[in-house]
Amino acid sequence: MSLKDNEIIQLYFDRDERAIEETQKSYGHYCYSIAFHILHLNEDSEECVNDTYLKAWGVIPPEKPNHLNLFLGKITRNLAIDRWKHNNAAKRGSGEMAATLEELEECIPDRQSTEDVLEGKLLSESINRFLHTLKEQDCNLFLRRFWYGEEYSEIAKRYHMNINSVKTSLFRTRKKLKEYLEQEGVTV
Amino acid sequence: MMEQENKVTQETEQEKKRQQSLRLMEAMNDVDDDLLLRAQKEPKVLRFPVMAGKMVAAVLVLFMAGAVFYSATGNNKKQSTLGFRANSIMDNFALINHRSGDASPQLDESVKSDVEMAESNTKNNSVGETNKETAQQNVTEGMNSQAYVLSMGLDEAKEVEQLGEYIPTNMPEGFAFTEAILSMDEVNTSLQVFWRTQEEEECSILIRKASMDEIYVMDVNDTDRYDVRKYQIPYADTVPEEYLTEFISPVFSAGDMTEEIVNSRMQEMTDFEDEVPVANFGILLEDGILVNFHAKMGAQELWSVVSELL
Repeated sequence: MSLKDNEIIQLYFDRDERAIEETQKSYGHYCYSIAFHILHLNEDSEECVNDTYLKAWGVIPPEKPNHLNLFLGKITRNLAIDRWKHNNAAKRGSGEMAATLEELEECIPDRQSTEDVLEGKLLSESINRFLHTLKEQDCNLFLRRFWYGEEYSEIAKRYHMNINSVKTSLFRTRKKLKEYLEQEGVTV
Repeated sequence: MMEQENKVTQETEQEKKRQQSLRLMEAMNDVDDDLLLRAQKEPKVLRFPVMAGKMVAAVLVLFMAGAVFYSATGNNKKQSTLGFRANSIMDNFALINHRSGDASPQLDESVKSDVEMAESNTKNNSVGETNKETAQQNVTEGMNSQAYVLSMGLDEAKEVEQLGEYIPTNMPEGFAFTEAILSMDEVNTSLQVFWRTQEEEECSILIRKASMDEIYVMDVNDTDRYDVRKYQIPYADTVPEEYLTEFISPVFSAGDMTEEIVNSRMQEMTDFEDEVPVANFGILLEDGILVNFHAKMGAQELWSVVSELL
């Protein structure tokens, strides 16, 4: 039987190595799913998940996540995106991640200096504010596609919609996001 | 040389866009937990058991009482609106009473008389109350099939399995949602949604899974069968008899649908002071869903609603 989140977090605080085992039991599949949606490679996805556990061990404590699954999911997602960048440095236009990026083509300055790092934070804050303006379903569809990296067919099945409706909703939301970021003065 | 330079510039631009997209993906990692938690939840799918008798009666009575109250506080325009709503009630109730295999829907006569009574009443709320009691009694006694009718809000309606996703999301300015009604029996399920403006314009759609053998899909080249501009009201006197059944509310394939077809269905209501036309037609979508429109609004506005479905 899986431990509850607060019990797992306590294991981290106690520096009890069972923390990793329990994390894997409860969230291994979840983290793998996030990684695989981005990488579409079994080995690389497993490596990202293992790296997630290591990173979690390194930051808890002092971190004490309110939602352990999301905390782990964000670590995995970051790691998977970095791995994808490494794997695809020379390539373009393959896999679902490439399709996702093509959908998200926006003008953002490269991260070169402190000033650009701040712009990245501003971008994150703007995106959050934007997502809060959306209707629940539109926001959910957007996150399933661009945070979880799911394919249209998966999203359509999850929400009992046809694929065209999903595509239409996402197209409109992307357009709204661009307009929103332009209004906010964030470089896109 | 020039061509090569252009190619390099193009590749540089493409790479730049890619990097920018990646930044956007990375920035999304800091999305608020509450939004992610919400996206993780299994979506609700409304399922309703088939019920009969008092529940159906209660919902219908509430709906009709609302319609009666509305007419009691209005003028001729609102009476015509009630006629519009009464027609919608009757259409809806006809669905409830329709039995599988019947040639045509059988409208309960006692309910029909209540609707007519409500139409004639424009001033007296107490009469409306009497109508409500009478309607309740008649509906309870008149119901002869297992059916379920539920009035719901727009968010709930959008979650109705298979049907809710076809509710338009971008209604023209001024159109406010008023009600949605889900009707179910052993055979049919339909979802009807109403919007109206303060200027008495209205739009309602009826969404259901179509039975292909019951639908005649219009040949758009055969305009005599559906173009209201070719005929004068009353249509029963001017439209050829063999066209009349489909003429009232023709069904078009989604792939054929154009703004011109919408224009061809706009009936000018010259009997009333207002000049907002009325349109009735259906659209058969690719996955076998039929969306029937009954609208009292401008043609361009109606086309903007229709085009969202296509």
